[in-house]
Amino acid sequence: MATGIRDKVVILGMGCSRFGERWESNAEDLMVEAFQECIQDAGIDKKEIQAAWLGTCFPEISVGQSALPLSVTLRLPNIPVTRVENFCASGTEAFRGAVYAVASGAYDICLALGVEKLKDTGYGGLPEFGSNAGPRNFLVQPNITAPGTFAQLASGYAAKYNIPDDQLKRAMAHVSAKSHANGVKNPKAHLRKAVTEEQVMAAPIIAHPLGLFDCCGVSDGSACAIVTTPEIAKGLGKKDLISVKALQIALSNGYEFGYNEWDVDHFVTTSIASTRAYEEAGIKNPREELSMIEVHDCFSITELVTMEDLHISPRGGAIKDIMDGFYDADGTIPCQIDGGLKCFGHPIGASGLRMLYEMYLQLLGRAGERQLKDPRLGLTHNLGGFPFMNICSVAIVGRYEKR
Amino acid sequence: MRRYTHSPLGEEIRAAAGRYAIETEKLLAFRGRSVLIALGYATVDSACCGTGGCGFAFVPGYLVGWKVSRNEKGEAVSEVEPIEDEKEREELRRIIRDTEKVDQVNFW
Repeated sequence: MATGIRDKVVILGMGCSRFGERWESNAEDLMVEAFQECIQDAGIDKKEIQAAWLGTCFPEISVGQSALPLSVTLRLPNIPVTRVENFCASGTEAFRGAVYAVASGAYDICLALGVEKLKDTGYGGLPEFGSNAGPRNFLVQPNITAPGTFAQLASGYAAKYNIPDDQLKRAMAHVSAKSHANGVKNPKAHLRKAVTEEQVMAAPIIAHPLGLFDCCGVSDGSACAIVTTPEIAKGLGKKDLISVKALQIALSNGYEFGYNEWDVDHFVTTSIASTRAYEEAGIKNPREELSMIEVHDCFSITELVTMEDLHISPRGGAIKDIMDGFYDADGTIPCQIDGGLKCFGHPIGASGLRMLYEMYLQLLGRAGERQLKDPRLGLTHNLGGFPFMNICSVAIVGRYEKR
Repeated sequence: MRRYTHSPLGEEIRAAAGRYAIETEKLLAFRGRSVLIALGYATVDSACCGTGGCGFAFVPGYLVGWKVSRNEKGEAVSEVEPIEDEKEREELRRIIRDTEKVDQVNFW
């Protein structure tokens, strides 16, 4: 009988590079930057790491294929290293590999590192999906764009709940302005500039109703974690332990894409993954028990809808919560307290671990200007793909309170 | 009625995905009233969406009060009445597209 991952593994250390247009650094430099902070935080020698996972989504244009880029860059001691890719969930997928390896008893100490270097391609945007999504890609999803499909989500959501265009726009503007206000306080963020809701509303449209500030940017960055068992961490003298409470991934199976029952108003996968995660973490009422969340705000509408798929806001109720400030830095459950994808950009392989890094800092009281009061449980969420076909990861971390 | 804060002309407003700037503001005579129009350009050069840019018009609405106050940053604030009627919007879109070099006309 499966018992889940709750409190079986703790985070020994974490690190995160500065995100941004890192023209002066290559992917290897970013990995080293994140790892140096992480290994120092963990307080161990590199030789004590027994296995590692590397998360990266477009290795062809950044680090190259295989897991060798991580092993060679960090001069890891000939240990098993695995490269994983699962769209935007790649960083969390690497974390999952390392955590499960420790939980299984196969290893004592493991490393998970995510990295992506997207600014050196010479153009904006992600590489053409046709080359990465399989030979039938052009048959099943020809001519689609990410903003186009997420704009359809916005329209579908508005239609389902009869929301006027300007009301939805203003709520999305609040989502974006809130994240930018948070990002100003984060020295590792790509963009540290506050914007007003008015400025967001006045920006030109990318795909109606999504405007320029509703879309995240590409960036360069890396983040990593070293994980172990609670017993080993205590043996190393660690006192305040942060443990993994839940790790769930849910993938589309063709239902949204292939049938007409789905109203393009929510993410089927997120709803399922979060339900499983709460069960694994022993959370009965996420609205009351979660302290903070970092969600995949690739587009502002994604964040808005995700509030409902995480079962925090009621169906059709996210706009009210957003406009009431429920998810603001001084709200009940702050969302994107580090600035989110809007301020960090989205170096795909690194994003999931970057989110966990903020939860880790907050739980340990190390978040400086952004520090929240007494957080206990933090949730991170990634969504890779499109509303109609995607990969969703949900991770929950919190203070280790098992005695 | 809404309050419209005038962005400093030519000053770029940055997002992670790109940037935009309002270059000029105009008052357009329409149906016996004045419509405030902000004209600008956007460059999308760092978005997951791809690369592009456009000239655009942003229409806060019918002018009610021109620069009646200032915000805490000292920027001028006007009072406007948003244009919500779809027929009026369509007519304005046509007029603005015929007279300005813009790819899109957006309303508040």
